[in-house]
Amino acid sequence: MSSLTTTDRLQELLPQLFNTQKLEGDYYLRFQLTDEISGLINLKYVQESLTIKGDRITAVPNLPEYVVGLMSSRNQVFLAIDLAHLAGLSPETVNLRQYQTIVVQTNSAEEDSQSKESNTDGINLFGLTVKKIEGITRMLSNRFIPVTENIPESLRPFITSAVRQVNENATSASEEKYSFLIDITQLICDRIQS
Amino acid sequence: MANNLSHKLNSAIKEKKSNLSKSWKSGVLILSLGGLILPIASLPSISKAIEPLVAQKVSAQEAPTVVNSTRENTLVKVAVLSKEDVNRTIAQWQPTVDYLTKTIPGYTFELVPKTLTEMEPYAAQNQAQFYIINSGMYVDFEASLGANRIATLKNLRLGNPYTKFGGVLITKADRNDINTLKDLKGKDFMAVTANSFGGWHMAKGVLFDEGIENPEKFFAKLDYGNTHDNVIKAVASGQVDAGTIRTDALERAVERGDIKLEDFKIINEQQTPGFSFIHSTPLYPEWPFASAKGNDLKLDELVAQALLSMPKDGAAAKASKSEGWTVPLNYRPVHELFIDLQIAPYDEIGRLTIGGFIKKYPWIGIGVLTALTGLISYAFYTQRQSIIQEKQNQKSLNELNKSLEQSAAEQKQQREELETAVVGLMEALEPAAEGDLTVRAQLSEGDVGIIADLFNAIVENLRDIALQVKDSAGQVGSSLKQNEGSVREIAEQAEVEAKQILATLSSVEEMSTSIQDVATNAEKTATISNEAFVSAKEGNTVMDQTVDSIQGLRTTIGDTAKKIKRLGESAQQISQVVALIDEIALKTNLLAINASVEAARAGELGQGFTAVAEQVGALAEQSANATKEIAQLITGIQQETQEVVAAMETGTSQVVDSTRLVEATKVSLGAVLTKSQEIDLLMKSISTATISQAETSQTVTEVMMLNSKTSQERSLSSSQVAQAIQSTTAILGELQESVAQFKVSETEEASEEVITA
Repeated sequence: MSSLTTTDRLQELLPQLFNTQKLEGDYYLRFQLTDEISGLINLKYVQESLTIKGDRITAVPNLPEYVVGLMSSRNQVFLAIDLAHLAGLSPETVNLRQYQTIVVQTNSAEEDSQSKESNTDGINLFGLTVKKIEGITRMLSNRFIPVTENIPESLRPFITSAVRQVNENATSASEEKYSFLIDITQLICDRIQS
Repeated sequence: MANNLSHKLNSAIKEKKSNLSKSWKSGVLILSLGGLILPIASLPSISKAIEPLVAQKVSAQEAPTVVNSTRENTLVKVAVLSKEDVNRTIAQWQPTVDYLTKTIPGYTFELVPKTLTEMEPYAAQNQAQFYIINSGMYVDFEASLGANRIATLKNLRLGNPYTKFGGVLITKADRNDINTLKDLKGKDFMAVTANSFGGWHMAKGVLFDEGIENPEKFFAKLDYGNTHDNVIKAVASGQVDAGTIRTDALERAVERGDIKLEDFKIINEQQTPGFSFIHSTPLYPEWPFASAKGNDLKLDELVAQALLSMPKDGAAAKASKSEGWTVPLNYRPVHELFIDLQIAPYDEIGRLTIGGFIKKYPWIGIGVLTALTGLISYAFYTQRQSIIQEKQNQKSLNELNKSLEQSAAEQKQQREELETAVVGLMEALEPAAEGDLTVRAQLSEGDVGIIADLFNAIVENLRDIALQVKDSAGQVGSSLKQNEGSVREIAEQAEVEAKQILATLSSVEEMSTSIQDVATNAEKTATISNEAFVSAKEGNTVMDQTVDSIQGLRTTIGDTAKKIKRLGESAQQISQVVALIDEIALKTNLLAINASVEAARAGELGQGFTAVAEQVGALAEQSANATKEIAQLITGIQQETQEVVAAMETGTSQVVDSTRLVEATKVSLGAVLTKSQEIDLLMKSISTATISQAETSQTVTEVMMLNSKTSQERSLSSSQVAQAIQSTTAILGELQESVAQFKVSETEEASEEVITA
């Protein structure tokens, strides 16, 4: 077996990597918007997630208050925006040592995806600083349930459904928490481009 | 006696001529005695004086008879010949004597064992009443002492009784040269003893009959074996050629198994019908029971009866090895044998009689008669002289009587005169006897006058004395009365004093009791304080230990605080590490998200990778959670540690406080110790003081007791004094009374005269 190639060894060590079985559902990035609100963003909008030190975000004057500053990643410069502030909530990330940032890309139209390479200007990148990035969650669409309760007024237009969090530590129904699916493009379009 | 006999025999044979001269001398002696007696017999007065003496002698000679006739148990002595051991003799014959005592009432028989040599002098004193002796000795006693046989022993030999016995002459069976008595000439011969009847005399008799008169010369050598068995042994061993023994000695030796009868040859063997033992000589009667001369015939009869009726199985018969006794045999053959052998009493045959001597020597008789006549004439002369002397004495006595009568008449007259004068004096002085001292006697001439003068002087003196007595009695009485009062006071005071002393004594005793109580209490307190001292000491020790342990606790708490601090520091470090891990977990999570994003971009091909990224993310998330929990825990630990440190500090301060407190306690305990020691000492001194106090009080009590005793004695003696004074007063009264009897007045002149006289 030792004479096997690196590919073979990888195959042996990580069989799931080479498992071509189709996984049901879509992937979502779960994060903590505020202490109370946990949000989900479809992974297809997510460019990357990173932590960035505060001194690497350059504050820019004369910009809206939700803008933290300018930041760069993968040779691209884009705005770092406090998501909670953007959503009309109290700002969550102010003068931190390092910021947890979700880099999202919002296209003006999904149809324009083919012309990505040709028109790089059409790709809009935003660094959304959140309180805490929690991780990737895979979920079937039927898990989503429409909710209207417990949502702040300013967020309501961008939230259509939610997922009941499976919290092992929760002991009673009252502590049930929901992760709200945030329509991030809508949010950005409405708040920034309007 | 027997030795003496044989000696005499020998000398008789050897010196026949000297024997004749001896007889002559004894003849003269007897005649001269007779010469003395005859003149005495011719005097009637002297013969009367001699008569009781003679009678006494006779009674002394007949003393045994007199003793026998007394009614109460008369002592009868039975002399027994003891051939060997005296004890064995007693054992053999005592039962016979006891039998006699028992059988014959009124007599006590006593056994007197005597050896061969002792018997003859004893018999000569005629002390025994009966004899049990051998035949030879009996013959001697019969002839010399008048003994008489009353029974003969039935000797038990080898189961049969025999009243006779004889001698046997033996030699060894292989001695072919010795067959008859004649063959014994020039041979060695052995007999039992020189005076043995069966063991020599009988054999000697046989030899005499054979014509051998001097056996000592007939034999080459004559020995004595002392016992029959020795003779038998000597013959058997060939030490001697032949020997002689009594009958049955040989048979007994055979029966004992010492010898065999076939080894011996009997010389001159005889045959006697009814006698089964071998014998060479004629047979002679056994031991007789003889009565002494002069015995009461009735006693003899009783003894003979008792002996003859003695049961043959009785203890007496058995002890004497016999079947009792039989009628006395004829001892004539023994006499004849002794005559033949010239053994005592026939050793002096041929001696001349007294009558023969007188006939032979008449001049001795004439001389004696002449002497007698002289003596008689002297006696008559002396009697006549004394009668003349008595007549002269009578005459002078008559003259003396006459002169005595004359002087008696003169004396009577003088006495009458004197009596009258004395009566006069007595009448004059009679009142003086009744106490009248005033009387005086009339003085007259002569002796009575002197007496009267003397009487007067005496009466005067008496009067003076009476006066003085009266005076002094009065004085004594008055002074006694004074004394009596003061003595009585003294006695009363002494009594009071005694009572006071008694009271003091009781209070002193109470004091002593209370002192003793104090002493006891002080002792108890001393004990208690001592105990307190001991416990304080123990407390001190315990305190020391406590201080030590508190110090130890302090150290331990300090150590623990240090360790806890170190723990807090470690927790700090851990929390730092945990923060690092948390950061790493976050980064890993982001990387996993990025990986998922990239995989999603890759389309279907990246789906597997997406799954892996998802898992990695989940792991990162989990580790982030875990680190959060750890951080929380660490925070709790840190908090608790801080609390513990605070508590430790409080504990340390408390320990310090208690240490201080303990030290203070220790100090106060030390003070207690010192104080208790002091108390102990004080108590001890109190105890000692009380003890000395108690002793002192004891002494005081004793002194008081002594005082009390003394005062009691004083009271007693003062009361005695009072009593004595009372009795003295009484006596004084009596004295005064008796003095009052004397009449002293009206006689002053007379008294002066008397005093001057």
